Amino acid sequence: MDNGLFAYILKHSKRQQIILMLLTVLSFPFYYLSLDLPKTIINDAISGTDFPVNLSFELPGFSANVGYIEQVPYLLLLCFVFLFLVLINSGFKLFINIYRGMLGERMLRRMRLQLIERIMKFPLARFRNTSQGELVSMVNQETEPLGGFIGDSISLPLYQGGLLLTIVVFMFVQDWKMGLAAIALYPVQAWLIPKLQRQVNLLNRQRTLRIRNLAENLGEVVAGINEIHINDNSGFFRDYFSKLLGGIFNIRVQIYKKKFFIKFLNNSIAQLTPFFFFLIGGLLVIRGDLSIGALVAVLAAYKDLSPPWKELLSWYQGQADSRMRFSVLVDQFHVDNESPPSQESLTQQWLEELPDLSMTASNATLLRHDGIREVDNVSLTVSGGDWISLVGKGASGKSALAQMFAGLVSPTTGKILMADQDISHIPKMTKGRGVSYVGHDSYLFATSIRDNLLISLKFRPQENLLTDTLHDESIQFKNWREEARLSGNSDVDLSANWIDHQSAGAADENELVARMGTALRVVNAEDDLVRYALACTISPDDYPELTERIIQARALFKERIVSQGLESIVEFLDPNQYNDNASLAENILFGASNHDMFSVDGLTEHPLLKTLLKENKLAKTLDDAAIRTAKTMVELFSDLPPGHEFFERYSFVDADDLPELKRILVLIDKTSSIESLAVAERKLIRSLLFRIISGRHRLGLFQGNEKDLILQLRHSFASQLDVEASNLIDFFSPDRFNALTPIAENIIFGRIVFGRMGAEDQVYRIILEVLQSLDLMSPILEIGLSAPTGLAGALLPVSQRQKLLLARGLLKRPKVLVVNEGLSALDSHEIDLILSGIKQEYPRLSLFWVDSQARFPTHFDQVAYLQAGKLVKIEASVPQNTDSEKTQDTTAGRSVRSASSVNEDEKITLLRKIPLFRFLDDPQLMLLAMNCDALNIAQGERLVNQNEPGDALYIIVDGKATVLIANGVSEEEVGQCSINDVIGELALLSDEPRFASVQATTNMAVLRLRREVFIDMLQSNGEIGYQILQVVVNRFSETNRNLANITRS
Amino acid sequence: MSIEDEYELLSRLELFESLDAIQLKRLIFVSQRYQIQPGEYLFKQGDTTDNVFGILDGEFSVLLNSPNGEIHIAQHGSGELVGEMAVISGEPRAASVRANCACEVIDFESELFISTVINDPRTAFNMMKLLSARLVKLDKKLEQLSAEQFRN
Repeated sequence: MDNGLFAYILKHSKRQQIILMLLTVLSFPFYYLSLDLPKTIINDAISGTDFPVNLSFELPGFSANVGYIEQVPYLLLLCFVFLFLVLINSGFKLFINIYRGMLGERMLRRMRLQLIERIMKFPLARFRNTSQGELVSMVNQETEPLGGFIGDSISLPLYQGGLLLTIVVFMFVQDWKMGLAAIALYPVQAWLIPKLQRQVNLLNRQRTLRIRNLAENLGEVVAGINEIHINDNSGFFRDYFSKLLGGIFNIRVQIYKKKFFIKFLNNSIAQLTPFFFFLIGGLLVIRGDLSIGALVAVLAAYKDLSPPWKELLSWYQGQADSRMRFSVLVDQFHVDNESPPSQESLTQQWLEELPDLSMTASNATLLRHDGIREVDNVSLTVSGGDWISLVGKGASGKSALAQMFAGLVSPTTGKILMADQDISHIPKMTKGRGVSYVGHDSYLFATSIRDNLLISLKFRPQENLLTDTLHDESIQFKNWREEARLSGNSDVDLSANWIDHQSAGAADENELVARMGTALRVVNAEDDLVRYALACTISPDDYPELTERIIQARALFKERIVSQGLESIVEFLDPNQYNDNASLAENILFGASNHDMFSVDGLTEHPLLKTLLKENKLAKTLDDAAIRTAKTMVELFSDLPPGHEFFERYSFVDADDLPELKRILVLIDKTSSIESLAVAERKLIRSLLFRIISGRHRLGLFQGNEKDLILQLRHSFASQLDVEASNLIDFFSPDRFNALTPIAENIIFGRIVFGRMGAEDQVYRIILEVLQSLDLMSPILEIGLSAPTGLAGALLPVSQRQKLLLARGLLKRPKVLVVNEGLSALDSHEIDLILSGIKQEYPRLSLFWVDSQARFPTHFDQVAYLQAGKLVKIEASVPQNTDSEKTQDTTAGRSVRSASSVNEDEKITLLRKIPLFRFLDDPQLMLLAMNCDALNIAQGERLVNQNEPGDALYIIVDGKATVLIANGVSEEEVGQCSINDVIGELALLSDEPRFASVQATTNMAVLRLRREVFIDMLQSNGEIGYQILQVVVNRFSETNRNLANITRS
Repeated sequence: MSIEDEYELLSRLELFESLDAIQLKRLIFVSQRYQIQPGEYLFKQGDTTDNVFGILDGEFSVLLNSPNGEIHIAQHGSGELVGEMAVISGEPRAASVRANCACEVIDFESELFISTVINDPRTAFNMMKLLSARLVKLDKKLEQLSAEQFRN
């Protein structure tokens, strides 16, 4: 690809180009004959006098005499021969065009695949400054015209040149002077056009680069859409793009000007030639040197002469342009092939025979392109099965080092050894089997969870490993494969199995699902998936067996609930019972439907239901209840801003409907009837009631026999619906799977009771028990696995994305796992659990864990601390957090400062140290500081007295004091305090009496914050209050813990 | 008990004394009511739940785990709040709360509770006062216990 366009064309399509050339050459004689024939027709058949003619063919070694023929049949014969030749010519053209087009597309296919392959080989560093948009634009758009050109590259000049030559030869044969006239101006064109063309080419090149730039910027806008929304940058970017587009417009206009000027020149020159014909040809005919037939034929030929000439010129333009494009493209996709040859003996088997993998970095250094050492001469060994934590700040090089160990990045100097082999010599396939990498930038593809997990096992097609179904190779597939080969594309079977079950340690499909289950369980994601699956609806048509078994699960579930005495947490669905934990609408319909007629809104206006309600004498009762509900809603919620979280909580009222409801209530006050309202108004107010779940919403609406009446209504409604309408409803039935309700509801076949603590968890637990005992976990998990992930996993929460990425890394059972801050969205507790799970499930695994602090000491064998790319120290295990260093006594032997020397800045510094204020920001602290007094306390004076109500907090700026507690008669010293200590912090919030006295032992300077001042501030600033509240509560918990500790000893 | 009765009971709480009736009603309205069996736990020490409970009926014990089993540190009855600490600290539950008899509680979800409390500075301050008073009591108990221990 790197030797230029024509070399590339010859390398990959020599044979086809030759076939094209042969076809082209073959077509010329026919073309020549078709040019020659009109002359014979005019001169011999029409203007001729010598009839009958003798028809004879003379070829070397063969002659045939057909016989004599009259003028009209002769004309007919010649005309049909002419028609035949025309058809042959068109046939040639058709075939050649298709062949050429196919050739172009093949080469395009090959070229695109090669570019895509190269992208996949790019070193990671390259993606730091190559945007996705740019690459997409290059592979998609910039190759397109190349494909078109490649088909034409050799055959077109040959064909058109041949045509041209044929015509010119024909003309010269007629009369050399005419021929000369026809081509007289070609030299001028041949000299002038390339000069102009060069300018166009330069412009085209610029245009390509600008379009690429546009794509790059567009890609960035999509990637940074959050920023644009949050900062409202749309105006700025609009302007920016407007400028970009303007630049492209200007170039385009220049191109048009130049291009059409070239056309203009060509056309003008072409029109000059007939001038020569009429002049020279006319003279020749008058002098009798040329027959009129010949002149007409030459003129006809000339008409044919200009298209090939034009084609040749545009081919010339095209090839210049394409060569330029090709070189720009290849430059951009150049991949250094510097990596040393891999050692083929290090096969997958070599890897499998090693019990575990030890990894060593020896003097590894990574230079960034700007010369900064991201990793600076690091040497480190991790024996097989060991776990190491790489700890450092953001720019410490921990991430790059982890990527080196994963083999993603090669050290600039130094080596990474994997089981004593240089990792750069290990074939990618082997490395890929042994190492997993989970980074903060790891990616989920926009497929299902299942496919995302299995990506780690798809590294080569498996040859009938499991399925012995031999594909009957249809003709269609054979053609498909043949075509792929011709384009240098992949000829792997369309339905080939790429999943390497062995890598996952699974013998078949079922075991594979079990393995996925294990990996998901280890990363603590299995539960989420099962829950997801349980919330899915499935149809018995798609899952006949599973739905059948879920009905069994339903029975077992009920049995378990009863046997565990938990009847009070589930209210089972019963055709003959009103369900307090289902909505009124559900109670009436007793089924599910996705037809509008049976939605909540639809039901309120259903004609049959309305009639039945009237007959049943329920209409009035329900309407009254609806009005009461609406009134309560309006009263409680109408002054809340829309979008308030309360609306979400209270599922049956929508913020936007409240003003409308208010208006409707006024109307009802006048007419006291819902029925007289407009349809939309009726629907709105009645649907409120229909959505009410009496067990949950506690409005006390139905006090009498309404529920019995509603049951009657349920039965009469179901029995009186016509068949067609009935078919739209999937009625709840104890022994049938309901395709419109989620799997979980199908198992429960009832409603979880509102108002029972932890009912949902218990129900879920029992569902799991049931699924396990019926062996249903795998099929349910599979439904969860088919959940879509969205682009880059956007449909899943970040924590789940990270768990899935880790599960993907574990599924192939690697020997080395590198987790480069890949679980940043999880809390320590969960990470701890996951790490324990990994250790248990994958005991031979070596783990590289990147972190910003040393955590989980029990899990790691070593901790490596990195700073600015250097390895600072290695510890055998993570130490516990050491206590902060003790403050040193610096007050001895110097005089005490005076209170007046304390300035505002210092006050802020002092206040910030108080735990109670640690969440406050500078302006808030400033406010506090301004409200503090600085006081001088003389030696022996008391700051606070025991048992007096506390009314202020003190901070010691300088000096010392003793803490005394009265014990019956005498006072006992229980402690001392000095600079920066805080006295009576809690007095700010509570007026409990002081539990001790504080007396100055030297002269002191203190800062005082009085309670009243503080409370004033709190009341005027809720934010400060909340921040402080948090601290109070933390203290509370701490005290609680201390209490527990004390009682322990 | 309908929502009106629940409001009647909870409005007497010191914490809610300065809260508008409508705000409290709303909070109650969107919250869930639960029945608790005797001996059942509202939450256990170390749980990561963070909802707040208003006691409508019955009595609860606050218990702290210790190697010698749970120790009883407080008691709460009808019209009192429990569990408000975790809501603010975001830490796991500092103690367990167990029903002494058949009880009924209203379960405020943390976000709803916070938005109600914080949006009203006076209520926020009440909350602080409440907690501080409790903290001081606890501190005292701690003091006492350590003194006893010291003596022994």
